[in-house]
Amino acid sequence: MSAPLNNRIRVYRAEHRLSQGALADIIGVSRKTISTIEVGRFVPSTVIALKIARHFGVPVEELFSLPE
Amino acid sequence: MFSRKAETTAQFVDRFLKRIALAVSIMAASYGSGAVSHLVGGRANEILLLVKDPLGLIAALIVLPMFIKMVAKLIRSGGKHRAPSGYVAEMYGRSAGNGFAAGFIFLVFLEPLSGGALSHLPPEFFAQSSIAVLLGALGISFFILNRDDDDEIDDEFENDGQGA
Repeated sequence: MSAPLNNRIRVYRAEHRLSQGALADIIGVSRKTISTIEVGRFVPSTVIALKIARHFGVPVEELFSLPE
Repeated sequence: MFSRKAETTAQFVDRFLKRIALAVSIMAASYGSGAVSHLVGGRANEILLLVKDPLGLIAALIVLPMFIKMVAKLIRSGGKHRAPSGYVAEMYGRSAGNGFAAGFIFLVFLEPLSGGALSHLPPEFFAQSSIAVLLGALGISFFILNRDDDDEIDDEFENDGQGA
């Protein structure tokens, strides 16, 4: 089992009015990958995390954080 | 009219891995029927031997077209056609690990029996049953890990285009 990881992708998607599919296309992954990251079922690789953060123009730790 | 959106590399890879898992499951059934055929006689033995090879052929036919497409994509892109490892690829890797573990545990239990209660069986039985367990565990594990297939579920921003 992977360690839990909080994320704020859904919040940033809402701000950018971006669907899971559209974000997936931009990052180069499938929509299932984005949806499973959002619900915490899948901990993304460093490359995927950095690509998402770069797309939203924020540091990666703004998107992902360890639970308190 | 709805236009079908072109499949991305990531979607193609996910679909390819799902096909491989399906083919692996069918191969497990093929090897399993070969192994069980050593345990039964008469009509059941004939039926198992009859379905063994066609199952293997079906598995190959399931994977082959997409494998050719995958190789063609790789050649066209000069080997640079690589999507970041997504959820399905991760689950496939995890399933492969589970399959290996199941195959190993099966061999550990089978080893003492090979010289005892099962000593009358041919070497093919041990090879076929081990491969069946390994591949079967891989396939089952993959489908369990991917059982919540939400590919068809839209989210609320789906129709809002590419966003900001």
